[in-house]
Amino acid sequence: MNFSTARYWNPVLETLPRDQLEQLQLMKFKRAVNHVYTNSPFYRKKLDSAKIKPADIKTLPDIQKIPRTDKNELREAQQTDPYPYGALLAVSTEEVTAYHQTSGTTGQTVRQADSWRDWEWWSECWATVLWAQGFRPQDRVFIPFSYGVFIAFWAGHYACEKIGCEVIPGGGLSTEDRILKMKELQATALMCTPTYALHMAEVAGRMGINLPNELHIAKMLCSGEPGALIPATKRRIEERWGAKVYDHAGATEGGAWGFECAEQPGGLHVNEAMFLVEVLDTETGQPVEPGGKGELVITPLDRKAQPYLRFNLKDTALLSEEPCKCGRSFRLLKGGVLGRSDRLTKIRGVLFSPTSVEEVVRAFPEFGDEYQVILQKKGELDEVTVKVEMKPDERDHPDLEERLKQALRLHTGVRIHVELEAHGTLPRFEVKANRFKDLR
Amino acid sequence: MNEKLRAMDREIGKMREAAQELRRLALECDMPAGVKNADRILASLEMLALHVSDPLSLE
Repeated sequence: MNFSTARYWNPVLETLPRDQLEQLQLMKFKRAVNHVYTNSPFYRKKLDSAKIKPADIKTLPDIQKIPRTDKNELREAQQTDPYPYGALLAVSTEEVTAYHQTSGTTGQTVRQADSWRDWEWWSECWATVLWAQGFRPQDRVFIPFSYGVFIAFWAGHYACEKIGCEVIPGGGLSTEDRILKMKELQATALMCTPTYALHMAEVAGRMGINLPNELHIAKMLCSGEPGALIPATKRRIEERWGAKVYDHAGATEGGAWGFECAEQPGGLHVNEAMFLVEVLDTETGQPVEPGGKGELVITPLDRKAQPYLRFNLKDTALLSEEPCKCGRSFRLLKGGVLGRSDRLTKIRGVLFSPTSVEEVVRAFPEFGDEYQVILQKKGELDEVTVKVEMKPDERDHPDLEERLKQALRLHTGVRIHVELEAHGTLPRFEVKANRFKDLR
Repeated sequence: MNEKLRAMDREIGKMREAAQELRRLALECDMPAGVKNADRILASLEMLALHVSDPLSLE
């Protein structure tokens, strides 16, 4: 069976008339509120504090009554029992089958519990994305991903299997070996960050390999950074690979909520059958009008083990109600995720905050008070360098640089270059410090 | 389409009952292989319900 005429993963849900789609969202939202109120100690307390009972949610506008959820609340909730998920856990610990974590760039990581049922849900959401981008059972998909504690492409792997694609798990290989493996096995599709797609192209060039001529990659899902919807970046990747590039947006807490369809409409569809995504004015907190820009707040409507209501993604986006040629009734976010509402930036798919460096640097007694975080392009890759001043009388211990590198990697999830500087060489500040330099 | 969806929904219901019964019997036999595989079937059926039963419940 090749599903040659099946345009949608689920033609019913993806083309529901808007009024029915909103009915579906309301029905699911009520179900989600009931579930968290009954099973999640964190949300029960939060809703009780706001004096809201599940029965108070009668219409879609009623959801505004529920206070939003911020990441710092999650960290606090995970300090309680049961370890390690705390009051966020809404199933028994015996039901948890997968551990993942956020990158912890704004502080401590948030631990994410998923049950097998939630993995089924994750792969359903991803299958919707992949099918919309033309992934089919006859595809051989290469995934050059570390398969570590960050959720990233794990669910993409499971969704490929669900669709029936053949998956090549490309973890544990060098970039050169990955390119050779894709060539050897005639992989037809690829999923990675836009930065890594460009890096692989650069490496292939050095290896004397012409990607469009010698490989068989026809489509690429790029995620983890906004690049695939930045026209110049998309064009650059498509030219270097001779493949179509599609964007996808997701989050550890939020799930796989957004995708660019094969029509490449210049934006991300929100999977409104599985998620309630609000675009809220950053000043007033009220929903923006179509064409308005605001902050994204997400509710994964069918998540069970560690669910979220109105989670503040801190991403900004522009809501559009223009129809898409693909025929889906899911609305578009024009230009995709436009940026962060705080100063976070993504490095090779991992959220990185310059302020997260401070916590690590300050823990080393050998260092003085000044440091600098520099973000720059090295070839196609974004790189972070941390310059740290020694204390006046402190000498550079032989293993100090390495220890700092390891601590930064552990804390931020990003590989960071380190330079130890003599005391008094970095800039001083009178009032507010500006230790972050973005040279990209 | 709706008729076929309703037929699918009925099949999902029957399979759910069967999987729950299978799980119950496996528990009585102290057979993890039966319980855990039934759990996986139930998780898949729940996904099918999201695709089929939920839209059917709309007006």
